[in-house]
Amino acid sequence: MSAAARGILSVAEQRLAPYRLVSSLCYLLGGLLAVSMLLPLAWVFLAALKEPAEIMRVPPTLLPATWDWAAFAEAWRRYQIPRMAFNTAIVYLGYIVSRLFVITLAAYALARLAVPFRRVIYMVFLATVMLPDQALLVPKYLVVASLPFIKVSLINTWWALWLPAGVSSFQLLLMKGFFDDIPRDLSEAARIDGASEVRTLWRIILPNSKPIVAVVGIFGFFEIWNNFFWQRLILTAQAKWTMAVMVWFHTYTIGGNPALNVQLAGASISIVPPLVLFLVFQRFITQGITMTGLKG
Amino acid sequence: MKRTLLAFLAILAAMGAFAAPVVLKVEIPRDTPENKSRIQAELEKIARFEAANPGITCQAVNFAYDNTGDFPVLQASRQAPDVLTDVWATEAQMLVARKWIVPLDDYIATWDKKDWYNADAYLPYTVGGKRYGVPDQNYIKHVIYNKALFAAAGVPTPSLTWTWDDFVKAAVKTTNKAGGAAGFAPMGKGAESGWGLTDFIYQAGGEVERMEGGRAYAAFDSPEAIAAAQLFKDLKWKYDVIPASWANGWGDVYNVFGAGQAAIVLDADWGRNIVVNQFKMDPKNIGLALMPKGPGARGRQAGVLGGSFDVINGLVRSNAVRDAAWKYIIFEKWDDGNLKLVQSQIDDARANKQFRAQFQYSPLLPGSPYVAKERALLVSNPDAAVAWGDPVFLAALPRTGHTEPPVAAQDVYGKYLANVVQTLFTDASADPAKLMKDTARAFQAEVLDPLNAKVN
Amino acid sequence: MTGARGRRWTGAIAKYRTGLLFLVPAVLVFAVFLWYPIVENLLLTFQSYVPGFDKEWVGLANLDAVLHDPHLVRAIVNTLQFVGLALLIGFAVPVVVAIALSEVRRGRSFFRVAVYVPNMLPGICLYILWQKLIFPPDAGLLNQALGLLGIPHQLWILSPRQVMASLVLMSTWANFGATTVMYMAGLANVNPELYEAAEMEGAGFLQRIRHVTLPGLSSMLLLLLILQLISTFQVLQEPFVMTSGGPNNSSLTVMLLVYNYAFVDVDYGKAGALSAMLFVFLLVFSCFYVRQTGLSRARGA
Repeated sequence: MSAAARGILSVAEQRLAPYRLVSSLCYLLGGLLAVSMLLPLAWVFLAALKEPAEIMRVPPTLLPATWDWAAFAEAWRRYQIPRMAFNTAIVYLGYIVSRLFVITLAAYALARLAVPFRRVIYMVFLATVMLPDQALLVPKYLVVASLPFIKVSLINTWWALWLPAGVSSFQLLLMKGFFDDIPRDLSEAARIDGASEVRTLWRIILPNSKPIVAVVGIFGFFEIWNNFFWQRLILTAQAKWTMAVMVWFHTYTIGGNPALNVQLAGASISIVPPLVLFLVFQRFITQGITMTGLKG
Repeated sequence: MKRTLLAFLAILAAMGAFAAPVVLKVEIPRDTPENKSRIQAELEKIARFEAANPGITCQAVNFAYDNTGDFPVLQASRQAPDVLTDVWATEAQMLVARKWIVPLDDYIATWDKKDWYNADAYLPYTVGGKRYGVPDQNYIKHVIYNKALFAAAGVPTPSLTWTWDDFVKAAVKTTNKAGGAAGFAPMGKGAESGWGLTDFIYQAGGEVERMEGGRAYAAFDSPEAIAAAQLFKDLKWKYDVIPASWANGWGDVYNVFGAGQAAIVLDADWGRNIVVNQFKMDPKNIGLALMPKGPGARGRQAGVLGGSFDVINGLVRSNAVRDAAWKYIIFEKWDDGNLKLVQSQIDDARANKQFRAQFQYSPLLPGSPYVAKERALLVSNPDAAVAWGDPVFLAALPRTGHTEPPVAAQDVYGKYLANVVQTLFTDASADPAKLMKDTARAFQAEVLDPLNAKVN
Repeated sequence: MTGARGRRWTGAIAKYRTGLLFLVPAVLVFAVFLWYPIVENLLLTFQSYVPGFDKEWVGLANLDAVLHDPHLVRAIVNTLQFVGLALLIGFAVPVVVAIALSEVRRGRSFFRVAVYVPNMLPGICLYILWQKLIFPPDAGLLNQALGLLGIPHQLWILSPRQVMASLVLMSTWANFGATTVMYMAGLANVNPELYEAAEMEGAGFLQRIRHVTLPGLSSMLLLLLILQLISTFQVLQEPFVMTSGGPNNSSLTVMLLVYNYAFVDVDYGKAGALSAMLFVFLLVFSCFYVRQTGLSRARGA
């Protein structure tokens, strides 16, 4: 990943005896962690293959006594996976477009453009993330049910998920930090050529911002993939539900819950896309965060 | 000329008011694959209702009442249905306090089927002397046990009048900690734990609250209630019959039972659905028993009486809509149209290879012809429906029903009795008498006295 | 507007025009979906609200009720306990792990994915995992591991004294991957020449961490610390799902109390009051923090 051939220890040092120990300890720690992270994941997946009674057994078993793939088929059907995947994809696209639109403009403004009371504006965006989310639920719902001035209801539409997407102070901050670090000469050259700010942003800055866009994209994905609370309030028609709501519905509501192994199968299926995404894009995350300029 | 015009307009307006249909928001289940037949049946019922009532148009809302916080939010935006069915008994006080349901006494008085019910059927939704709901389903909590585990441990079938001693003996015999089986799994987490202790308080002959002159007083510091607390403590520390992981919520308890890790649990009506459908337990292996009788002269067999009810949303402002809502409630109630709905549930269960396994305890008087028809329907679908209880059990069950505390029930369950249960299960040196007395005093001072102060 | 003043004004507008325009979408979205609900919520503190009916002004009654709630002190104490433990365990762990994993030559990608996996698990998996597999006092994994080391079985979430620590453990496990990945990214950015220099001066492993690594992460550490503090003060999911605040209110947190007010008692006035109190506290705390640590002066600000 990093081109540096050394970390805290140089290559040469690592061969020395005392530092060999440190190195080994690091590997050991990593190994223990990997086991403690992945073993439960394996257990969840394998539990989906067991009979419900076996899942509950004390002491717990790892490998299933009976390999029953039917739970996955059942989960696929009851959770309406294809439909949910499609819905979630659409919701995600709108979400990320909305978010990128809002925060790119704002981050660019705070990083590069002349803005009055820059520090204050920045603090205001940052401070308001401190209000507990749960407390905002009812007021936010009422706003969505009847938007101020236009009096339109967004209940049961995906707009209620897309429009608030821009409210993310942390990502705004990350993006601003990233823009801070882009060399000024790039945009200066464009300005001398007479390009407007919008054009500068579109033509010069964004193509150089792939890492941070990837970061925003990925974090945004994780946000909607598992966050069911707001989504289930807004989407009353099941045809519009997303993956997160479906997984929640089959678990936490009383009545008509599928068997435990089916629930875990559904949850297992729902882990696959984030896992794949992370595997593929982890480099971008690292790169993007590195470039936000959060250093000493 | 002007006056004629005005009169003409007035007549038009009046005609408009007559002609404009009343729009009634009614409830249909969430549209999931599990509910296909049921939704179809409900839509057909709505069509029949509209045909029978030409001035009323129905708007179907996918909704199911639960306590996950959806209902208040829907009320906030006035999106909730005008008629709600299947509302839980435990919600009555909360809904009345917020004026989210309206008294139905005037409507009930005009209803020809009002006397079809058991005497107690209306009680869970009778608040302040007024009736706010029409009973749809009732339950009386009782015991379900694993017949195979009983047989293997040599425990005799519980008699109709079994006592706490018998109960404890059965739990002790079926406990096999090394093999991962506990005798009895009570609910230990959240408000459910208080709900469970209440059953035993009633069985000992005690009460949770008593009413005097319109005011409520905590009554669970009595010797009888303390005996119930002592039993809980003994179940954990003296007899060790409850699971080591005792903090089981409502669903967990049935998971434990379904996995064969507990021989006895208490159930109202719905828990056995989990056991039968998720854990594929054979319904014939599940035995039913009345609650055991507490010790002493005042001991009795008692379980909480509850159910689900039909109500009218308190946000309905217009009388026309409210009348329409009432019409909808009584439409096809307790006649063959209702049987269609039950049939649709059975069809859904069959389509999903599951059982419609909830305990069907009708709020109607036992001799009622509807009850017999409903039972016949369940019996004739043995592959997808379960008809619980033999005639003897069903005849004996009604006398064991006991209503919930009339005031602030959820508070006393969740904030006071739950703590008692959890303390008893975590602290071997807890003193049940002191615990109950202190808790009763706290409940009285913190909750009941302020409420009493508002009573004139 | 005319004259010099007018020119200055229009001059200012012209100068700031693009910047302000660019801020409009963000301001709009934040105003409608965040600031307006916040104001509503703060107002709820002084109102009595039954959904479906009009709000009524009740002055300080809600605050009074909340401050007299017998469980309030318990909730605050529990929350502080959680925050403190999360600081000790949950904040240190990602840093230590990130440093360790950055020293690993091969397989870093694998480890990175491994630590992130718990972050991606939906709540149901976490719940079943910890409730059924890890915490059970008789045969759960944790107690079995302790047994191997000769330590007696613990009660974990069934013990009033251990429940908060247990929840911190679970929460750390579920969440540390995200911050670890971020620290690893930050660490990769530390100038290797600084390590060279330190090595030349004879600094040992730990000294290098203290003098080169940690300063190199300092702005990230500061930022993530305050974000973690803010987030742990609002802890709700873990006690809600695992223990419902038990046993005996030992895991009742402030936000769980807010949740109970809102969704169990259905009293939005008290919910609004308590969450407003938490908000004001966090706001003051953060301002103080930012000022003391100079966070806003750091490069990232």
